[in-house]
Amino acid sequence: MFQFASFSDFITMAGHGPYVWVCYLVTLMVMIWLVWSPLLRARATLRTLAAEERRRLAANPDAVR
Amino acid sequence: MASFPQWFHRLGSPKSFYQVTGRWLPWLAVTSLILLVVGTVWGLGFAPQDAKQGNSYRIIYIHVPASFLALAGYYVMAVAGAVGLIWRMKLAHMVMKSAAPIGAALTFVALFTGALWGKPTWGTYWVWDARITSMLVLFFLYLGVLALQHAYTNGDAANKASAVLALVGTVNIPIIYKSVDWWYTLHQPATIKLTGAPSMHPDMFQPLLVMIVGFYCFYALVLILATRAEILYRERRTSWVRALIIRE
Repeated sequence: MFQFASFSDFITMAGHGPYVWVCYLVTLMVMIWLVWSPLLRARATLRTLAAEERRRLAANPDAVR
Repeated sequence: MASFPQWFHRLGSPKSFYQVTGRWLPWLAVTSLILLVVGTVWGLGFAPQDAKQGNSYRIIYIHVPASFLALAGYYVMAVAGAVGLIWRMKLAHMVMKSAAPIGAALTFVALFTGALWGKPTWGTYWVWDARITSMLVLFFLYLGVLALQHAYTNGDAANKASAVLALVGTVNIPIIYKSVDWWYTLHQPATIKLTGAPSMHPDMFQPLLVMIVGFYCFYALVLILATRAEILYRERRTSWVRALIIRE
């Protein structure tokens, strides 16, 4: 059963709302960062390598891929 | 047991780790998302209010799982460091390096949520209680491993130095576990024990269990993601990574 009588009760949590909600928001931001930063890093590595590969091919069109 | 060396060797190769974990990622992502969403909604809205602490106790649904993983993550980092030192396994060093920022982030979450929970409950954000202080030491150990990884230009020296620091730092782990029993100060004793029933009503405990399992899945997910990014970077001169780009 839902423990709060109204949505505003749910937000204020009888005065504890700010503490609870800030905890959940900060945790959410940390978790998003933990997922995004390795994905961005992997993409950056692959992009740098792809650019190097294109330059290598442009400089020497006969090069074997 | 005959097959043990083979899978150990396969998982120890960065290339096969990259390929195998690529298949696990969608499952891990979906499982952890479902568990975390269900656990959060349950814990925030449907678990009963605490008789003494009111609604502030709802912070437990992230505080306890984050603390568990902050500690478990240290084992992962130290064991990976030991494996890397003893068997000179490249992949183990990559796992150790990837575990450090994740552990630091989760220790930060444990400390931060603990501080915000402390204010309405104890009347203060911070006390130099044994449990809290030893968690702060854990945070600095993670930062130390991170700093050592970046302090050396020689990757091999960085791996060895940070693995040694990670291993020395394991001394802190039993201190954290036992701190609430040895020094009976402000922090409450463990809610969940391996021996005996949890000191919590089942209606409050069930969403906590969902969150703990969710955090474990999430930890596995982000550790694998970070290790894969590290593998790509360190193996960028190898033919198999080159082949990945050309396929794109």
